[in-house]
Amino acid sequence: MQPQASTFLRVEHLNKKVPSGDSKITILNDVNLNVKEGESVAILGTSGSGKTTLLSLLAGLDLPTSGDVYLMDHHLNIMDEEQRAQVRRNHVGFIFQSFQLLPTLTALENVMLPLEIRYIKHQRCKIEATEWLNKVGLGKRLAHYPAQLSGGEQQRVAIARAFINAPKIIFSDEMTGNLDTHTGELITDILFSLNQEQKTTLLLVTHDASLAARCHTRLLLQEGVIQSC
Amino acid sequence: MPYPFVIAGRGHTIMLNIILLALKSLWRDWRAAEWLLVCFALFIAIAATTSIHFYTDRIMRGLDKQGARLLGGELVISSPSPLPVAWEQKAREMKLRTAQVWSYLSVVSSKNQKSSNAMQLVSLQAVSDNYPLSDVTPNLPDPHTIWVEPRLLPLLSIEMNDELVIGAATFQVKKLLTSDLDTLSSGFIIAPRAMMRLADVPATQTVLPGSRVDYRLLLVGDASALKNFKSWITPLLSPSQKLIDTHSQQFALQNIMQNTENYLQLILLVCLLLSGVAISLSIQQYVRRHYAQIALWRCLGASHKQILTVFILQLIIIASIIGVIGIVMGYVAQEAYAYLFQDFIRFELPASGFSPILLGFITSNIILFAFSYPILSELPRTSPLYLWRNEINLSVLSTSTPLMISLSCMVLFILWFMNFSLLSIYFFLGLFLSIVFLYGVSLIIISILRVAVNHSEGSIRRGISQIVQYPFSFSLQFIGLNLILVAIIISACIRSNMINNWKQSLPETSPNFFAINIDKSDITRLSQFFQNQHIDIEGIYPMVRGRLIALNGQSVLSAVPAEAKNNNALHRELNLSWMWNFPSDNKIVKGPTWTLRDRNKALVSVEYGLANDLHLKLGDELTFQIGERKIDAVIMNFRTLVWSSIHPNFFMIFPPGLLDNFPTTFITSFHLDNKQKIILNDIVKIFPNITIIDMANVLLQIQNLVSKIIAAMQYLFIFALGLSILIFIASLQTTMDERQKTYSLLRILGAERHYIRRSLIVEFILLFMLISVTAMILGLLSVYLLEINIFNQ
Repeated sequence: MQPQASTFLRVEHLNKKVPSGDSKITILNDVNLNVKEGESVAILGTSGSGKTTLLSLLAGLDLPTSGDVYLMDHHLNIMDEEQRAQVRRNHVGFIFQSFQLLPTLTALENVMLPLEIRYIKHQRCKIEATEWLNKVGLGKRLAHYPAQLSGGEQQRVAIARAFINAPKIIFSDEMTGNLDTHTGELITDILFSLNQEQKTTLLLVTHDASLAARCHTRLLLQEGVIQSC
Repeated sequence: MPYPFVIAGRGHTIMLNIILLALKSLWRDWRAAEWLLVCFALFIAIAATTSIHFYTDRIMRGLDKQGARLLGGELVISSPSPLPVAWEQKAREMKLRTAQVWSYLSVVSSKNQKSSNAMQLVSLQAVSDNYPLSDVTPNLPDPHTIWVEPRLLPLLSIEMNDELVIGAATFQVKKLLTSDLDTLSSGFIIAPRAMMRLADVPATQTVLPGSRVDYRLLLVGDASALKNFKSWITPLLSPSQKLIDTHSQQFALQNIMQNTENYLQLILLVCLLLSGVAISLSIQQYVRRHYAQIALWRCLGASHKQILTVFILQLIIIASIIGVIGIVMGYVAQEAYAYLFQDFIRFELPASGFSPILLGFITSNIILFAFSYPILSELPRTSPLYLWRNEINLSVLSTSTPLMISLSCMVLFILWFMNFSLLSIYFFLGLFLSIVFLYGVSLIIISILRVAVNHSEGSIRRGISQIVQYPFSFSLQFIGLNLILVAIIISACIRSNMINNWKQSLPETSPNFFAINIDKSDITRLSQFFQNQHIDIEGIYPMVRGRLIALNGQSVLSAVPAEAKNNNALHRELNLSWMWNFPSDNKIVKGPTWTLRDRNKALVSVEYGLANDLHLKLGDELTFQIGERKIDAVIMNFRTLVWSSIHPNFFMIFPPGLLDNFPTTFITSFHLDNKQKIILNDIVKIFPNITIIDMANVLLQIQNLVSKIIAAMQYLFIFALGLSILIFIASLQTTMDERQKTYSLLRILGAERHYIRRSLIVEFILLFMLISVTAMILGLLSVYLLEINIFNQ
């Protein structure tokens, strides 16, 4: 079945079970979801509710036990890992709770990384990365290593990295989870401001109600079952 | 709106982009010192192997030159008839330098009034204008002059500058011969010796058609030219003509040269192995540190193929850069060795060759790929989910395939590099069995420690737990460190055993004179004479000249394999002897020895090297032509003997009885120091029919050469030991990450410093004890097997 034209991300009857000893644990149970282009969606839930698993399936990082995921025109679960990687390379950006910056790379190099993987010329990567770091207010910290940056600054670098390849959708996993409230709000402002500017679809996994409140849609994931809230 | 950047270009553009990405990524890793340990281990491997290869290449070529110096040339043709002029011309056309030596016995007399025309048999060596070839400038007597051995002067009651008569010509004694460079291979030279110019021979009229002269053509030059000349000349040689080089079996230093080469090969193998262990340990650390990075790359959309290509390119770049640096360092180091050891290695080392450069480069790539690619190739499979779960689920099966392929390639390369020598084959066989054995032992140890950990407390429990918690890491470390220690033990034991063997085979009191042509009636008187002069002799052995003519009833030349047909022993008379007890340096390696019941039986003991060359088997029947009669004998055993010892050595020995009725002369050897040499004149006077052959100079030269080789080996061992220690430290360093993580956590949880220190001490003492015991057992076992199969042949 093809996704409807207006649907950007569509999930149908998604199930995920993982083996545990002789039995299987259900992480996601018949999840159905439609996300429109440019929409921002927050998935709320307690720890262990399956938020991260859902995100990894939506981003094509993992495969479901059953069910279908359509991202743009791509039926992710019939694609092999290389094809899914290509979709991620061209259309997806990530923001992680623990930033996931490479400690041996400077802020600038970390932001350049998604373009480098696409073999964009070095000079062009540099110009683009500098521009994005300026946008997140780190124009003067280009040569700093992650260890020389604060948590908030590191997350800003991660946001710049997520936007640099002009993704159609950004997946964010507890992006304020490692930050204090004030810094978290600052980071959220930056993200939503850039999102508006770039018209990117946003899918956030969080348990931060204030962050979720800024999204168009809020969904609650409880014991593997998704519902509106 | 589609993103403006796309993966641009095709084919070479994409490859160029990947290379740039690989370079960029490599530079960033390098900046963060991520490749440091790998590069250091590789650098050590290349610098070590290249420097040893450079140096040993020079030493071996130098030793070859020294051997050639003793032989007179790098290649020598010996013939009982004059050599065709065309041969020498052909050699010169092939850019070889040539010289001729005619050796024959002649009588000289003195013109000195005081000596009342005394006459003496001398061994004359007539040498051509460019003799000796080992020197840049010729060094030979002027026309109408002669150089003689000092002993000749009292025998003829003459002094320097007196005149001697040889045949129809008169010569002035101008110089004393201090050493005879090419005596070693020329067999029995009847003393005293004298040297004159070849151009003076016709005037003496001492060489006539049919005269017994050993005509020799000495050749030196480029190795490939020598090889070509050898191929050209071999089919032209008659059965009585022979080719001799420093690798000829009967060349006295052959055994020593072979063992030296074996030892150098062993050291090279050890260095390669040590470096391999260090590289694989350090690459593991690299991989552990890069899971997150690769997971992120995967998350950002990098493909498996793309990441793998980047890694392969990085390995090629590292192998190339470190290869070049290692080769340069190897060259510098070998120059340093040459300088440091110039007092020990007193012969001139030839200039460095090019082969170590190429081999260093190939070694760099193969070692790095063989030890790192199988581990590294798994890294691109890291799941992007690692960023969330920190779990690694790599398939063991998919690791083992590239691992087997890479290691097989490396083993094949090294075997090729070592010319598929027996030593290298044993080495890898031993290595494989050792790894399997050590892995099994490590699993048993872990099981035992798992039990022990439940019965221990405090820091002891923590120390043991550290091993038990990382079983794979322990196994790897256990195998790696064991191999390092075993390599050190092997290098040390083989070296010292070899040196001891050589010293024993060439003691200070080794015989340096032969006495031949001893009549049976003189044996008792001669023994008494030696006893009175306090000169020890091992035995006086009977000798009959005979030719090997048949093998199992078939003509020997048609019965032996094609490659053995030119064996010199088939084309000349051999010295056949008989005795109950073999000379002390003879050792039976196959078959039983004879007993008193074997008297008169048609049995023979054959020298092992000859038996191998002719493909003889125990129980084969050999037929000998002795004078007019034929004798058959069945091979009862094979013997090894030490060609470098100045003992009477026989290819064929029979039990007493069988040859008793043939005309027999006897032979013995004895040692005289410089002060005792005057006794020689007494022997000649009391036993006029006995011929004394002076081997003192030859022995001295052998001893000098052996001591030089020993010095070189001692140095090489120290180098290998130093390398082992460095790699040992590097290997330990690579397993520190895990410890650091655990102990940092323990510190956070409040563990005291001394608790952590004691835990570490427990862990390391345990590790050290376990490794020492297994390494000692494996090492000594390997030494025993190597000595039997390689170094004691």
